[in-house]
Amino acid sequence: MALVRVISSDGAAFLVSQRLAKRSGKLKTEIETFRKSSDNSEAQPEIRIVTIRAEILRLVLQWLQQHQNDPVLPANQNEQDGRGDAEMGQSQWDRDFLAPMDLGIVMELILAANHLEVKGLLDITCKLVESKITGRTVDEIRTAFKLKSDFKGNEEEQTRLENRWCVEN
Amino acid sequence: MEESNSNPMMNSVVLRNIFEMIPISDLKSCRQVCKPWYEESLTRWRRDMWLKLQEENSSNDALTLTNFLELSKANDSISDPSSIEKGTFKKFKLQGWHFNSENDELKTRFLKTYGPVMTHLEIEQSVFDSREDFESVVFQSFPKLQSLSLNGNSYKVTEEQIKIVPPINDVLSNANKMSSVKDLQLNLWTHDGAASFPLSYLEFFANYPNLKNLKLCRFPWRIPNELNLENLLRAMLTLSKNGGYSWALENFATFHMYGYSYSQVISLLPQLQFPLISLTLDIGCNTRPSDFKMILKTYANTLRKLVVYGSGHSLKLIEDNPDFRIGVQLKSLTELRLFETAASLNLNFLQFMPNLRSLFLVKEIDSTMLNAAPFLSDPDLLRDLHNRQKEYDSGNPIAVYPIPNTDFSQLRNTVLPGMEELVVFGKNNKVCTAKQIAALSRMMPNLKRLRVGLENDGFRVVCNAWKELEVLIIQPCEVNNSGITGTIPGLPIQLPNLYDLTRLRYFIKDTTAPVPPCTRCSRITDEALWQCTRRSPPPFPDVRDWYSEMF
Repeated sequence: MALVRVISSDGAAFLVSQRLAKRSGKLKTEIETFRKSSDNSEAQPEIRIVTIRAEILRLVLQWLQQHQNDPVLPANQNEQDGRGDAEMGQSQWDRDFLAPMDLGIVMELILAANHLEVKGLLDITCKLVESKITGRTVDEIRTAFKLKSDFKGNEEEQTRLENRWCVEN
Repeated sequence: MEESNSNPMMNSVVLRNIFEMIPISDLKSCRQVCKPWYEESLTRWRRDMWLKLQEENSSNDALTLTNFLELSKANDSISDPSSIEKGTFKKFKLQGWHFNSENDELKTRFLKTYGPVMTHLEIEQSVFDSREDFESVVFQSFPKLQSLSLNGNSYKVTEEQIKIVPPINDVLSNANKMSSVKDLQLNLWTHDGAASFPLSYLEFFANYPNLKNLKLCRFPWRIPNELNLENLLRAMLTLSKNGGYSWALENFATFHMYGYSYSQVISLLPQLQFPLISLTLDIGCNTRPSDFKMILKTYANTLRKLVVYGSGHSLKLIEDNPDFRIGVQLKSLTELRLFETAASLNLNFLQFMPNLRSLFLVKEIDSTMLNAAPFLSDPDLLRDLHNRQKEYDSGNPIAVYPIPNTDFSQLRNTVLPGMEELVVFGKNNKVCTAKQIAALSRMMPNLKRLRVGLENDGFRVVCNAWKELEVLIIQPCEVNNSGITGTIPGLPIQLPNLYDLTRLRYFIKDTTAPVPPCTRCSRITDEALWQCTRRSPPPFPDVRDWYSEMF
């Protein structure tokens, strides 16, 4: 079985099968680039991911492992309505996987899934954060995520007006 | 961490991904949270939203053309709806405009700037002074247009002028056959109760050879002869027979047809050979069973979705033939929606739809139903139905109830293995008996979403038969606590009960609030169910274990 070493920003190395790694768009490209530039077709590729730390990379690989037999979703699928997609794709395993995580870890996972181009993981993590926003008022969102309004002058009023000028269909 | 910020909720990658999937109503709140969130919202906002633009101010909230052009000139990023990096609006609703040949600097500037990028356009309650004004705007200003809606506009053209139809060769040589318009929506009815159109259908449709979706509103019988539905289809037929047009229409819809009967058009439809996948038909109150059957026969091989509205107080379909059962094999049909008076049909037609997956029989819609819409398929359609209801009351309801009036003995050989969703609702609907539910469960063994009226016995059959149910809405509801919990006071037995439905994500009975699902797993927990039944937890630890031992 062809393997690949994936190294996290803090130096931890994960040895995974290339078949599994190629479920990530980014790792797939990296492996192919390595193949082209390497004379030895047997050489084991080594990919350094400088933006993702070990704890998060482990979670991504764990998720990929669980979903290794899922059909690969094209990156732009369901752009108009990502909701249904994420909802349908979320299994009990996914829910249990996300359940113990705090919001900070989920955010890091979003960034990692985005960077490594893992659409399914990106969907379920974004969906989790989205569920914390939906149904809340502007003030409740600000309190929940510790955000402050930085609108000046009539900008906030302008945004409110703009919301009224626009309709969904 | 890439593009990091002390607060991850300020990270543009995170925000962009979340804003892509969030419902628009929540996106509106998000845009008001802070400036970075506003900025990140713009990409989806300008791609997906329609901008309503009035020529003159008719209310304080409205955006006028003058204001819009001023805003787009300004450099301030927050008020600049056309700043290039976040894309520009491509969908416009122009309301109350007046198109005339006078050289209007503002309008010309708008059409020159936004015309070339516009993909979706609705012109509503506007006035075109002449046929030439209409042609120069609608046919020539929007080269990238994919969707066009002409809704209740006035055209200062006399009926006589429309009658003059030029020879087909002239029509063909003047038409823009490169048009990219795929969706066309026409509503010719204006506020003052008259219908008008600036040119003949032949000349108009010659400009739209690539239509995929055609939606017609208010083409009832009173419309002037030249503009009726028959003439519209005849013009399309002439273009296909004599002009080489090959109509690849996939969706055809009629709305608000009131007393229209379709008998005039059934001979034209087979000749047009639309490869329809989806058909929406407002059968009004006068459509005869034989005509309805003929229409369905025309599309029997391709139709996957059928939506039928009955926008009248009565339904000839049923009056003429109480046992009407459609009678056309629709093997490709997977979704069937029967709304308003059309929801009064019985279910005998199911024998002709072996691959049906989802069936709605909804006479009217109430707030409980509206709240549940996101958990059902077709939430947009349900919201549309609600808006229609605001417009006119379905009035005198026909006292025919689909399930009680179904002759299940006719359906004993019918099984619909793909059927996942059954939604039946009418304000005056009765609860179903256990026998009816048992017959339904035999016919649709794999149901996942159900809305129906139930009492205790019927409810027990539901719990026993459809263990995979994810959504259950009981209305009207005559199920009491004894039904919900499967207990009978004084008897140590456990009957099938709500706790058997372990996959439930949404449960509501009558008009009470839905039982909240667990925020982590999105399923409804036993604890939440106990709270909803207002009972203390059972003396035995787990109802399900106990129940399974019994059988």
